[in-house]
Amino acid sequence: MKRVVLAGLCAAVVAIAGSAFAQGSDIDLAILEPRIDALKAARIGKGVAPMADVVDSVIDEPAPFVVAATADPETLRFIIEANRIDKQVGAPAGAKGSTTLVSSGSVPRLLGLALESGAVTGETSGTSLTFQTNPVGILSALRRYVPDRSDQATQNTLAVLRRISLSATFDTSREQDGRFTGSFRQLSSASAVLSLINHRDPTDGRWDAVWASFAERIGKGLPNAVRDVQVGLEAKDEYTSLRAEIKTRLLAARSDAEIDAAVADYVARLRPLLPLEPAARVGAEWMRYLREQDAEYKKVARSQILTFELQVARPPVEDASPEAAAQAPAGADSDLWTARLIWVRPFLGGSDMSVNASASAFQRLPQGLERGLRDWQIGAKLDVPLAGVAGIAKSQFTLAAMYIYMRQPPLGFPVEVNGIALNETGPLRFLQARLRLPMGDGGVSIPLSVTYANRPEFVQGENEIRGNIGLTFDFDKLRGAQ
Amino acid sequence: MQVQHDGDLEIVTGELVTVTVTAIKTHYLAIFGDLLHAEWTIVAPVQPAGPDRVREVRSFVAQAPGTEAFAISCDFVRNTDNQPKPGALYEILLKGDGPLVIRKLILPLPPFPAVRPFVFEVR
Repeated sequence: MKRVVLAGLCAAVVAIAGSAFAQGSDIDLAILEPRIDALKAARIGKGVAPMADVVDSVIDEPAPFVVAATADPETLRFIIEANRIDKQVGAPAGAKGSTTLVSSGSVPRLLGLALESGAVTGETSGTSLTFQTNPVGILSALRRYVPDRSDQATQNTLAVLRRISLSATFDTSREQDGRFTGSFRQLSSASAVLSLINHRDPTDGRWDAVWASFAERIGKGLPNAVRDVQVGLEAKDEYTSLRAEIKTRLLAARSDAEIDAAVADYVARLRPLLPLEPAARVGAEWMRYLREQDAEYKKVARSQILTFELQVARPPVEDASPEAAAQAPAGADSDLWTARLIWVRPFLGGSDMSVNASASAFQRLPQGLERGLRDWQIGAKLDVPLAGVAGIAKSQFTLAAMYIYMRQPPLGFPVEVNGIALNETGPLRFLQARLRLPMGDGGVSIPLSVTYANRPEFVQGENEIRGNIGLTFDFDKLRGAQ
Repeated sequence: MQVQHDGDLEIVTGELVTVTVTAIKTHYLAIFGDLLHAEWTIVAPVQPAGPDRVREVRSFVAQAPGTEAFAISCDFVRNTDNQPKPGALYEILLKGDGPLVIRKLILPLPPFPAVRPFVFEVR
């Protein structure tokens, strides 16, 4: 679901941005969108620099224009998407619709359908709709109304606030027509996440050596290609006059439409002037640069994190419709509080290890139950990327283990393990090994799994151990193949 | 060094051109490309130049009349919000034998990296 949402969002952004400026042309200007926005902001005095400096930067850095005018759609899309970072978002592990066995603990910032202000992100899964924000996101959204303070003290404060994340999950099935209303009745859970250890910010000073090493290693292919393009352009009188004309038009622009028109005109008239070989080299070298850089970002993104999560889940009977209340188990009328500690760190080689520990308790003790925790659990997961096992494509091996002790019945808050609800008290020991084998590059993969559980219902008909073969589709890859 | 009426840069054979790149509030990710005809001399390697500033200085001597050119790639490391640090930018200063200093800013405008070419007419 997340991949589908992401792919759809990216395609929509590219389509909208491109269509806005390329009407009647086969030139895709989506890659220039941030620079066009910067020009528009500078025109009204809200840019990162005065208009003259922004015009100078935009026009005298030719690479985006070169790829807009000459690169194939795949190169354009790659460069656009490489300037994004995506993170996992979703309801907490216990919420309905969640597919997470052991949460990876990453606090997401941007994913799914970002709401207009950018202060909140959201995602749907099943009938769950999760909204997530952090104080920094709200402050960022307010920047349009309040002065931007970028002094060090403010940045330090923001760094602390960035460690906090808040989310609310709504279950639309709690109302009869199933539409999202945002009512209190549909609120199924709320959570706060505090990041105790997180060095995954690539701008953190501890990554100085990583970036210095990257700069030494990446080579001069990209700047040399851009140099050769510029030398080729400057040899043509038409280019010199075109550049001067476009700069003049941008500096004199009195509306956003005039900026759009000037940029589109520049790309269209620049295209026949571009020297072909170095222009093609710009796209290729840019992609190579971004691929290498992406590997560095991924290294940073794998550094260890430790998070603490506090979640309150609301029973469906609270303030619910009579129909929903009638379906709820007897005694399910109390909120359930869950505290969870999540530790994720790189393991051997390229593998990642996640460890979760959590405990839950009812806010109001249901009648007939002993005081204390409803359940406690500990889980661990090891994700091991396998490169070319037995000559097959890259695979992913996952080993997950979980121990849950249910002291009290779930009472409306079932604990789901492997997609199956745990409804009875007592211990559950669960172990699963899964190998996901992609079949070519088409987005089709076969997951093979072996599962052990001490309760037969968790191996679905087998006594203790079950083997399973499935088939999955990665719609992102299928879309890319088109 | 002079600026011609059309904005192009002009230098003379044998002129020493010094290029100073300062990264402000960002990791130093500036990459000097090769010169067309001359060779770079590293005057000062990458080193801190004050709070939140890192600087590198290189120079070259203009060769025979014609065209000289190079480009500098400047990148901005982004945080987990995909944003460079507030206030991040690069400043590039070009100075020849004369008093003129050309100052260019590399602003954090995606897509990254920003690559700035410089073309000189050598007389």
